[in-house]
Amino acid sequence: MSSAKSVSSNQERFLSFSLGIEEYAVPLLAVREVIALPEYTAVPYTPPYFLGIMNLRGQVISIMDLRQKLGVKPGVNTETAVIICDLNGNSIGVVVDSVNTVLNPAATDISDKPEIQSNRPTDYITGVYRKDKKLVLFLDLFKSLSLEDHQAIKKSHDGAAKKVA
Amino acid sequence: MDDFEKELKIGFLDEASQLLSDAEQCFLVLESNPNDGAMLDKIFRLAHNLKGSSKAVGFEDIGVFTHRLESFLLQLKNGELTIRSETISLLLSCNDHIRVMVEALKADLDAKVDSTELIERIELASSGNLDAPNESLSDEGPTPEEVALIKMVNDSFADVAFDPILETSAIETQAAEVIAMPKAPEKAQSPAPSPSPVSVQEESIRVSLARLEKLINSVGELVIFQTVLREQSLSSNAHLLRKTIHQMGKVTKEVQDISMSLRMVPLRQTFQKMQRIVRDTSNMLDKKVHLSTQGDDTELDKTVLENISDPLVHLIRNACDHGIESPSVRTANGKSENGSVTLNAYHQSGKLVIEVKDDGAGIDGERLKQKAIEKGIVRPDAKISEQEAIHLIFHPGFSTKAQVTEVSGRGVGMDVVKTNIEALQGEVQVETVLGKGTTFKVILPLTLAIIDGMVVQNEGSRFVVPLSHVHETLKPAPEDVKETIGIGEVLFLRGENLPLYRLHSLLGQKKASIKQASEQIAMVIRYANQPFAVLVDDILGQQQVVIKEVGQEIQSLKWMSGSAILGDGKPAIIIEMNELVKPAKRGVA
Repeated sequence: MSSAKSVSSNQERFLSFSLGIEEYAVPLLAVREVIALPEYTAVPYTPPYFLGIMNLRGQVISIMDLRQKLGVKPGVNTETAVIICDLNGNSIGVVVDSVNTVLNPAATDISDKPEIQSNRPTDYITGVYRKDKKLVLFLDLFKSLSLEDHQAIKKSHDGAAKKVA
Repeated sequence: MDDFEKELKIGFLDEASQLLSDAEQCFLVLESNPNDGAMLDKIFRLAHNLKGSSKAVGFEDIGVFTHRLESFLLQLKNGELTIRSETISLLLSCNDHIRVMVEALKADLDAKVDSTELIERIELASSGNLDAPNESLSDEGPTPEEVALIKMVNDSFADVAFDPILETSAIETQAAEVIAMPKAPEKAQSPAPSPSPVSVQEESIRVSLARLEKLINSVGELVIFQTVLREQSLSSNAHLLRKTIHQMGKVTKEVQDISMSLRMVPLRQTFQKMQRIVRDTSNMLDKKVHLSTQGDDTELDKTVLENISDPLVHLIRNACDHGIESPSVRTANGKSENGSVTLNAYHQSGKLVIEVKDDGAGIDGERLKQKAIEKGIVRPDAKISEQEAIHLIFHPGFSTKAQVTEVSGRGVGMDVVKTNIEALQGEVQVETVLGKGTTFKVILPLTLAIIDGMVVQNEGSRFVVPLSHVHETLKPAPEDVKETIGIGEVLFLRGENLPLYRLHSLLGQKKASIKQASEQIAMVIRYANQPFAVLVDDILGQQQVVIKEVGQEIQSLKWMSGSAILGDGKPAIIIEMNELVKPAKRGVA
């Protein structure tokens, strides 16, 4: 095995993308592919950021709007893209404003997120990276989407069901 | 332990499970006909195979136990012991014991299971009856000399654990060979294939289920693309293209049929298990019950088969316990002392039907009704038809037998049976004649991966409703729909008042335009406990759809049983209507 390879494996690579005017990144290993926003079917009793289900070459996967989920204002004139991620064997499509680049940051350039007093949960941000004059936030996709969503969807169903009654 | 050794061991355990179920079947045949020498031979061979290969892969425990068992079998075979019902019971518990060992080893390759107690029982049995007359083989008519010869052959078998075994069933032939060439030529043969109760067996290979699933998934995709392609070609004028696509469609359909059939397994093994259940149950109840099976070769999807086993066991036990009367009652009623239970499997209009039929007392609808009134399940003044009364047995918390028995009853049974079968998209029917017997018909889909769906349209979205859930569809006449403040809309249908729901409000969507019920189509759903009707904008058609699982994030939505990819490639939700109306009902109450 070449030494160059082992160096790059020490430095985890990230896929960076834009949500509104902010820049985020997720570990590249969790990304299966990036596609254009396909047609999708809405699913009732799900939160607004849960766009629906889509057909990815015969597999039906959920598609979620990360911008709505994180409460980021969508950018204008963006080439909306869907990042297909693999979260513990479960594929999920995540809608972002645009996919930018693959980052290969040195470990020393990554720092912990600054502790900010806030009511909003921030545990899905695992760290920050300063690139030139920009700030890139590293996301834990599992935390920002999956676990929490189970409950959110359930609540949404129960609540809506009561309304129907 | 290196990988090769491990693989060998795992291979052996798989093989052993097969041998054990074969052996169990043989024991049961032997019980009904203790003089069946050929069957004894077969059992002996099975035990011998097991002993040989277990020692070869290093499972000493099984080796030692089967060695003792083999010696016991040899005594039976040589007619030194008589075969009685107790003997069979002992053999069956030995079989169970080996199965326990095999299961334990499957979980942990170094597992140890204590067999001393059973070995003692075998010792006891083999010493207890040594002077019993030579009954078992005498009917086959070998002379004493022949018996001696046979014994000699057997001894030569028993001594060498790794001897490959000749596949000749008639022992006399072997004896003849030995006369020609004493103690020589067995080793020339290649190892015998494991004997099985089937006389003709096609050649087969084992494939892991995961690989099969992958293939089936890919074929499913292929079918979808084929449909998409066909729809696209309809707008094209290229004649040749359309012809090719049409031909491709035929091949695709064939590939799909073949790949789906790969998951199909015959019911035989499940039916064989039932023999044992009937035997044990009837012994426990001191009844005489004979189980006969038909249609063992009928094939069923593996997943369905795995899930149907428990409900079947329950139905069989019920037939033995509640259905078949005790011998004295039977004779008093002019029936034969021996009760009979029949298992019959066959295909009917694209579904699989399994019948469990007994010639017992039948179900007394009147008694069921009384019982239901006692338990407060039914109001005393309620008018219920005979058929409805009989269906009360599926009501949760219902058991008609006065006494709770070990075998069945406690009332947790039949409703679970019904629920399990309905979970498989199937249904149960009961036919009963008082004093003559009862037939339970379990009707199952052939596979779970593909369903017949009704594609409906509502507010611009398409949904799939399993066709088996839809009892009928109709365009309601304006005067048949009554809107009330208290209980919502009601549909009059041939004297029935059905709750009428609108799909968009069930789905929590706002209506874009208020439509008259008479402009829509009502689907009547009856598979639920309470019938109801659901209004949709339009019905687009019926088609077979491949069920696609949805992501974990939305699996908690119970009303959504999956999704299906429609002809244009867009996914649609498969709706479980019964679940969808549930919370609304709860709210009303």
